[in-house]
Amino acid sequence: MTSIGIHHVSKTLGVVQVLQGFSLEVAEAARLVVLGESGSGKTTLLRLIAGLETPDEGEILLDGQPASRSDWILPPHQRNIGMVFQSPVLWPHMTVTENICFGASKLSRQERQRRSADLLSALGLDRLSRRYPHELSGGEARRVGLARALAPHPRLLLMDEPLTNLNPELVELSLAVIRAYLEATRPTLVYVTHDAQEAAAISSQVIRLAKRSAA
Amino acid sequence: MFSPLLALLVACIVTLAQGNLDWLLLAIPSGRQLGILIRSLAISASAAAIDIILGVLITCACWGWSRRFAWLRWLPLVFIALPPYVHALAWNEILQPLSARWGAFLPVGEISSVWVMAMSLLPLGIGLALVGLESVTRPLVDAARISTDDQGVFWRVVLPLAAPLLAAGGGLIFLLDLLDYTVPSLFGVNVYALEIFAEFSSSSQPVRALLLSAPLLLIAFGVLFIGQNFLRRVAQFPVRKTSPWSSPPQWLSRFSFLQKIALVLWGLQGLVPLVTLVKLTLGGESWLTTLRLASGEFIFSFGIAGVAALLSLPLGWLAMDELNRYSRLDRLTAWLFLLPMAIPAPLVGIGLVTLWNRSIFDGFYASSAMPVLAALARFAPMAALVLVAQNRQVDSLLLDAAHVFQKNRWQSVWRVRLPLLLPGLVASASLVFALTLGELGATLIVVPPGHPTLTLRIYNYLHYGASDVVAGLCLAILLLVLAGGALSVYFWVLWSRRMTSLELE
Repeated sequence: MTSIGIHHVSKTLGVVQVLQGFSLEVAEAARLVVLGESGSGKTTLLRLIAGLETPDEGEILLDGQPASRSDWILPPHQRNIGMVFQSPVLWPHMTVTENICFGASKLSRQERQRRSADLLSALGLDRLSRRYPHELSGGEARRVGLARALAPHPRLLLMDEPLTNLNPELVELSLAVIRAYLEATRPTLVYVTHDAQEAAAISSQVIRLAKRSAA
Repeated sequence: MFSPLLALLVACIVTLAQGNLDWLLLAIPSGRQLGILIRSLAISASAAAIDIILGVLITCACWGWSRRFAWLRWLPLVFIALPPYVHALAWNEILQPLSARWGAFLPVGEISSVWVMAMSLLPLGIGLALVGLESVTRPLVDAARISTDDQGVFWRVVLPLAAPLLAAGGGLIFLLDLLDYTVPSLFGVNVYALEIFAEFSSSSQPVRALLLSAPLLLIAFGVLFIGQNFLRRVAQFPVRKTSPWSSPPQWLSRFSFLQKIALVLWGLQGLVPLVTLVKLTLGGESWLTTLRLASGEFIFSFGIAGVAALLSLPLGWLAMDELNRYSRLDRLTAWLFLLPMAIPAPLVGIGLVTLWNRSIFDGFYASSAMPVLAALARFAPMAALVLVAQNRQVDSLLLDAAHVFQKNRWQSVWRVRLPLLLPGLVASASLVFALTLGELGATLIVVPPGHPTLTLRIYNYLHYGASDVVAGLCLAILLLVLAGGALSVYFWVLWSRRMTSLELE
């Protein structure tokens, strides 16, 4: 469980200032949903928390310790995070199981395999463990992306529209898996979506980002 | 492009039908020939491996540069245009003491050949490594960075994904090294490509030369067959303006150290020819006198290279659409189109002689068209690969829109497709021009009497040592290459900015 402190963070991408003087506090084990229209900076906010982007100004703290400043950044792999990206981004040279186990390399082989099998089973993908990403449908790839984020049991979970383009049955199934996981391991969650219903199903703590104009 | 090989195959069938079946033994290397073949393979493979390894390390080092200077990573590609013998001359000055000291214990000729071949094709190695490694998309790297350190991301995600393209690039460099004898011959090393030329010189029998080259052809065709699918993918990957890393990667100190060594060698690759040639030129007679005496060769060589570059464009354009397709039959067509790249340089010349050395073609055979044909036969497939790469970067919707609104087909081609392909056309013409300027293996056989090219003149001089005359001529080529390269980069940056501003609008 990780607390997040975002203090006066600004970020410009190209000519567009996506965030300006943005501040936010997220308590340990909290479930925060971020809503907002396209271009409002939701994805950039997640990437800043993950350490994939460096803030132009301001500071990000994890558990009260500095994690990102304009001149220094704690590498993403040292933040104990799991992340579901907007698109599945599965590594095409690895099988489904290898993709899921990639982030859990600190665990024993048996434990990795067990977690992978459990998650695949819960998400209705148990027959696909040896397939490669090009052999999966869009919905299957998206659920593998979700399993990959959950497998290492991270203390901070970042999800960027994880259920987009799934049919209603798969949305229900995936939401059930996510909720069960949150109950079992209690990580801090930052969940980005533009779907108010989905947001309500995850948490009552919601913030809404407004779109900014070009700098 | 296929005519030299087809002419030789027809001549071969006729000759064998006449009862010279014992010549077939030439196609099976044994004894001395087998030794030369193994040596050639070892030299070419070593040079290609060095180029790809250095290319990978230099690409990794470039990823640490700030975005403002990132475009500089493409600058060394300019040095592709520097003929290999210029590198041979320059490095010979440094390697000679090594030869004197270690010649009795080490195969200094082979080591020198490997090193100079690696240095002369290093820009190509860097370019191919950049294209291969930067074909891995940023989201794949980002996703891996969540779970492991940058070194782990490189070894477990970036390198495996780029491996097929790197292998294909290595295969291409291996072929270029294997099929030419210029550099090894200057260091007194006999390689298989030179053996083919020697056989033709001594027997004047094109068929014997073809049969002798059979093992080399077999190996080269095999490498091309395995690599052609990947080679096409190399050409089809868009050249990215940004690295796959959203922030500069953090490397382990040992890996950083290796990158620094690679960067130093990259610097030496350009500096050694420049410094050595300036030193040698200043120590000799007037440079301008040297250039004036060779003005005929300069004009002839630049004319040949210019015509070959221009003619390669329509050929490349025709092949471009063919190479972009994916069906099994089209793969075969693509392989056939790339096949001339696997023909040894001397064999291209011998094939052209076999085809055109007939009384009815007397006027043509003795003309300057022969070296142009030789250059086209060798380098037109490479022009096509560059055009395919550029074509891949053009948004097909722009062409669809042009087809909807066009007055006629030519309006689309002239007003839309041609401007969009312009950088690729300039790049492929420049590549063919540069390679033709340094071509020796085929030109030596087909050049019209009394019209030596600059390369032939320099090559002949080189056998008598590195004189100030040779250095002066090489320096002139180097400066022309740098000027041409700087112009090309300037043009590319201008075009790139224009396209970026159009995208933003």
